[in-house]
Amino acid sequence: MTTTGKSKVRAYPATVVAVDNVEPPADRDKKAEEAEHDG
Amino acid sequence: MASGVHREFLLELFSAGHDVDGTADVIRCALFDNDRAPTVDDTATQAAYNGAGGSYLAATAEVTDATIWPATGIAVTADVSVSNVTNGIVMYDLTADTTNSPLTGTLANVYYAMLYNDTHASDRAMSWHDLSGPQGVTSGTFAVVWGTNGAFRLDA
Repeated sequence: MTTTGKSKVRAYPATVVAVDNVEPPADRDKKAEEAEHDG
Repeated sequence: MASGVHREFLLELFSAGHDVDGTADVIRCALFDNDRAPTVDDTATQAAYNGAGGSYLAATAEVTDATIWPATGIAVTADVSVSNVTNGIVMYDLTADTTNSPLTGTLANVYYAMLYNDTHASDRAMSWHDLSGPQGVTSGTFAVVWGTNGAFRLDA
């Protein structure tokens, strides 16, 4: 058996990417449709 | 301890209690507040999704949103292609960051992401990961981004 003195189990923190106020898909599609009509 | 691996999970690995390196067992990522900090020595009852006396109570500690982060969490997939690293290290990593994007919703007071084995009879909690809370999102998208070291490592 090799004893290294450093054996360990380690879990790592994670990070978060949060993006507020994302436009709901329905509104986005509606706007795109309106823009198409306007254009 | 800000992040850790539950001892009960490691113990059960010796008895073939988990098949978590691919798609055999369903692994989920659930979010929790800081009502109670998890510990590596949580008992078998505590180290489980919705385990009594533990940190992962569904009714009081879990943070959910019907759209972007439903109760019981989001299913994830282990990345077996990078699970074995050199120098005596075994890494448990996931194939992708955990998110339901582009769906949107609201979350608040998120402190921990917890991985658990949903196939296990007790929904064994595997590990928890500090998210530097409180984290949240308002009518937006939310992603747990796993680091380059994976979720956890066993270093021989």
